[in-house]
Amino acid sequence: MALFQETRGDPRQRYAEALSCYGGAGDAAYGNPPGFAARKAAAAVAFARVAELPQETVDALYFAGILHAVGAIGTDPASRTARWDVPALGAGICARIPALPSSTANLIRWQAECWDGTGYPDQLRWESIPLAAQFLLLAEMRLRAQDADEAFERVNAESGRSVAPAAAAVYAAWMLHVDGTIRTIAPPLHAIDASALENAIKQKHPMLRIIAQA
Amino acid sequence: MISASRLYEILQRVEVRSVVDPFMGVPTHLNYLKQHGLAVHGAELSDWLVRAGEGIVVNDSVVLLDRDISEIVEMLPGHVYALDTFKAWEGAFFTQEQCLYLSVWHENVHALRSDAQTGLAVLGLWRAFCYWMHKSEAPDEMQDVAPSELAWHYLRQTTQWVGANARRNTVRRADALAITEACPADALLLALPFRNAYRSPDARLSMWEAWWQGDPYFSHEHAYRHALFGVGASEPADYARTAASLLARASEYPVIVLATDEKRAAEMESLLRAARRDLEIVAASPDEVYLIAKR
Repeated sequence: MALFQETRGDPRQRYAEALSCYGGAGDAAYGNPPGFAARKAAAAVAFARVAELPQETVDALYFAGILHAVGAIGTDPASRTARWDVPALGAGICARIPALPSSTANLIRWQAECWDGTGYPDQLRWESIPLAAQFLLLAEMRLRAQDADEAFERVNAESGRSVAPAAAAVYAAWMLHVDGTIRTIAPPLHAIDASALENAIKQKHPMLRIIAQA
Repeated sequence: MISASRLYEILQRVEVRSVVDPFMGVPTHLNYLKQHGLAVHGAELSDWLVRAGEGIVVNDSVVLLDRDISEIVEMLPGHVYALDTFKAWEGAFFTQEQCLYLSVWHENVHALRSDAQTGLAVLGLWRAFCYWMHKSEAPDEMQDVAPSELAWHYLRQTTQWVGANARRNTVRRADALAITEACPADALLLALPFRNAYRSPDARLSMWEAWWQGDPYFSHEHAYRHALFGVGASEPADYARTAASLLARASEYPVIVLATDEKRAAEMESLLRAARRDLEIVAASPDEVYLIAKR
């Protein structure tokens, strides 16, 4: 808690850094390499900018990328059923984290949903899946591939299956106009609700203690 | 829109162990609740949706083996097929090859022996059918996949959702009023159809009923015009009266969960408040609002 109670500097900056560490703990629990969450967030935000999504959605997408695997903390990474529950558990955790953009939890919940209804946890299909959540899936596919071209082939093959045709078109536009490179980005501090954060620090919100420990 | 995982969280919070859903649609949410230990009972008027429910909700352990899938997706030697069953759709919606496959799949699926296998096949093939419909809208953004390969992929995908049916879960083809009365449970889940929804059904759902019936001229509007939310509930006052009659039959349920969206939330709230006073609203997203009414 002392981490957030320092008087020097912007508390939102320290909070964003702590969230990033917490996201890293999620990555470790899920078995992802270090820095995966930050790269996933950067890639998803890049797709969202190409698609010209509203700024609030882009901000929420950044935090959803950073915290995408926190649901894995405390679960058995070898269990397939447990893996299916990671997005819903992560959404439950993120809904309790103060001062985050409101749609962050939903994006985490639906990051593994597939356009054709074969994803998890909710087996949502078609237009029910927000485009921003599809960008998290695209970012995952990009990072699991060797390079942007291999990912492009995979995204094309999955268009209309796990990936919405509209999202696949955004990936193609990103490759064409932004050269397919993932550049790390700074956290959008303006998206953290300063008064909510201040209140949470004053009230010693239990989630802040958990995040600070990460 | 219903997200099963959120619905499960809500039901857990109000200590519900069994659910009845009279308008279940494609019952993937019931499958999720089943896998997490709730007893679920669903109903629908559309027969293929009930079949899909038998595949994933009622089914206990039957999966489709590679041999079974081969017998579904390809022509069987020695079997004489009526290959022109879906010729009426040729050119208008699908290619000649796709229509031939639809005829073959129709006969192969109807020849399956178990309800669970039939349900899994109906759900898996439906996804291949939807792929074709989407491809006709976005031809440049989706790849051409051989019909049997596509069907094989989706049947495989579908069977992975089969979980243990330890709580004797059921689905049936029934009217909403009938199942609401006949099937006591801790909670009634209602996702009421839009007013006049039977007149403009989603082609991806209604055409698959036509496929299942083997009748390419099947009309959703004609078949369901006398359903509970059919022509008798086409005016706003009639719709409200019909919904109230359904809620009146649900008086025995300790909890009613009404799933709606932001646009209809106020209308649904007034309907539900007339039946129950203790009401909680969970607005998860603009497309997903839950009204939770306790007795």
